[in-house]
Amino acid sequence: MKRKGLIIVAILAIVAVVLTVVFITLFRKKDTNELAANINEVVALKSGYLNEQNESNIVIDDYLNVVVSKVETPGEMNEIKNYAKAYQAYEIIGAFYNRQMPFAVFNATYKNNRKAVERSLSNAQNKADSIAQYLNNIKGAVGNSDYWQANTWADCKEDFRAMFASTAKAFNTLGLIYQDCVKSYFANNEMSDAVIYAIEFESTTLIESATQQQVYGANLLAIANSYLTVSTETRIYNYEYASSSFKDKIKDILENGSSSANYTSLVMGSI
Amino acid sequence: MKIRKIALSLVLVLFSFCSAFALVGCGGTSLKTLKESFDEMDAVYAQYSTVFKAGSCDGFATKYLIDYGTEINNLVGNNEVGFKALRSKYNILLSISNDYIDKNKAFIISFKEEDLTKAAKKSIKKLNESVVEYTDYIDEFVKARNSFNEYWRVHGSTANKEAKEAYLREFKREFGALVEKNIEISTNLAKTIEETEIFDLLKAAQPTKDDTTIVKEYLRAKMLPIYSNFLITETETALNWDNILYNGVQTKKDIDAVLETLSNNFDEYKTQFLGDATVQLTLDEMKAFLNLIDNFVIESGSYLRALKDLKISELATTYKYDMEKYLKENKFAEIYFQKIEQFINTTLPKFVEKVVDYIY
Repeated sequence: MKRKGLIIVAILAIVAVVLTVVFITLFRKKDTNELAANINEVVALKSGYLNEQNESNIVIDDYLNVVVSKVETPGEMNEIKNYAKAYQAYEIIGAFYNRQMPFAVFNATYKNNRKAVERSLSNAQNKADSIAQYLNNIKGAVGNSDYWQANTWADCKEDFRAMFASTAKAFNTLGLIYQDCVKSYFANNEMSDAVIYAIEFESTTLIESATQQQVYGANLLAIANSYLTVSTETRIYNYEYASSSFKDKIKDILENGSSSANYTSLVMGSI
Repeated sequence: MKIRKIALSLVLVLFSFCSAFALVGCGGTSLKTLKESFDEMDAVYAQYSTVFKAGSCDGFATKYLIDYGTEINNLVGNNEVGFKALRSKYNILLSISNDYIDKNKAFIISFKEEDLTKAAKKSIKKLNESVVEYTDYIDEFVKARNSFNEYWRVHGSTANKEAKEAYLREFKREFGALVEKNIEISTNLAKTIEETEIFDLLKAAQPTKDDTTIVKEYLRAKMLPIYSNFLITETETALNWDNILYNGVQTKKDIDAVLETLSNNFDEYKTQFLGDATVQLTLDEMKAFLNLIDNFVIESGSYLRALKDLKISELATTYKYDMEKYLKENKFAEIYFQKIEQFINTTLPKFVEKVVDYIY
């Protein structure tokens, strides 16, 4: 009898716990603060590698500016120039998404992609810190005078590639979240779609072909400056009122991608 | 036996809990109840007919021009510093909001209960609650107005500047609360009208001039919180006036700059939006216009949320406009402010310009 009573109590306790969890899950406010907080940490806080005041950022930026004249092959030079510009671009792109994500809505796209963005940014952050540590160690070993030997590039270029690959992946996925979760048409329209497409195209090409041409990083930076700073994002917000001929150009880019006759002017900010 | 009793008690508590959860939010409000609430509101206004009078507020004809008493009316009429806002900001917002309520409440009340959608019923419940809350508050406001009037009558000529400013601030808080609660009604009324799906009908057939008027007034009401929440609720009602000591701080300068832009836009709104719509739209124009309004309402939702979550009063009073310190408490504070700036500097003025092109 006693045993039966204990079993009943145990079953009821399990049912109570299950129902409590169900109610909490159903009624818990679903917001996008977690991802927004993660991006904020990477972009706005000094601990984040996409904050220009971050120590790793400063060390890396300094290094890329100097080592570019120390390497011997055009391929290496292209790669360094691409990364230097891309780093500046991602700071701006990150800041743009940082401004928008607190206003995104929670839905399946957010739920299914949030962790991927956070993982990619975390990987990129770790790579940035690892590169900075390596460079600081070298500096400590050989002193301050012209220690940027060409062979330091050979030692850390794979880490750079990994850092930018993770960053590109993070922002490409974030672009998907943005397109589906930011409901304001002023902030999220065909213009922003075209800009997000261009960022994805240039980012992907940079990772695949960084040694071949030095244009991809510069393109990313041009796009970021032309549409995603605090002052230039007005071009997205005012798209609603653009002329039909302008809208046709954007539609053309969305249909034909980088082979559109209007693509280059979009990238250059002169569309 | 004891264990059985415990087990049964647990079951009862559990199911009571579940039942309570299920029942919360149930129970709607009938249109009859809503009508009664509006009638009660009108009755209270009539009771205080010496306070709420017919007149012209900033060129806008209204039945709700506040009579503050002779001396204070003169100060307001003469645009004295601090007093001008009682009319150019507080009273005009109240008047526009009341005008919308007066013109549109009959539309909702005229519906049949069985024709209401589930969303409309939910909206009506919220609307009714806001009407009741506002009606109850009118008493508080009138007491505050009488107290302010009495103070000025007795001490207006002898009290020092600080004392007078303190009384004016206190009265503005009470008036601000009245305006906020009234705009809550017009916002809920606009939402209820939306839920009747009338705007879907406007997209289906050639609109009349009356249809343009319906849309114009709907938009005018929807825009009220954009101004009142920042110009009154967040800055004047919630704030301690001692913050004028922090005029040199950059964050306060930035907020002041955005406030000024919004004030200028409010002046533009008053100039452009209070008259009658003169244009009859074509069907395509109506569709485009309603689409533009839908998009604007979503964006203004982000702005209002940013304004609420920025908590300017906390930034101002606890953190003395030190944004760096405040960010440790409210990590998105800068982002919220950037959204506010973006909305006020870019989205709002372009929208106002476009609306004027459409219908005025």
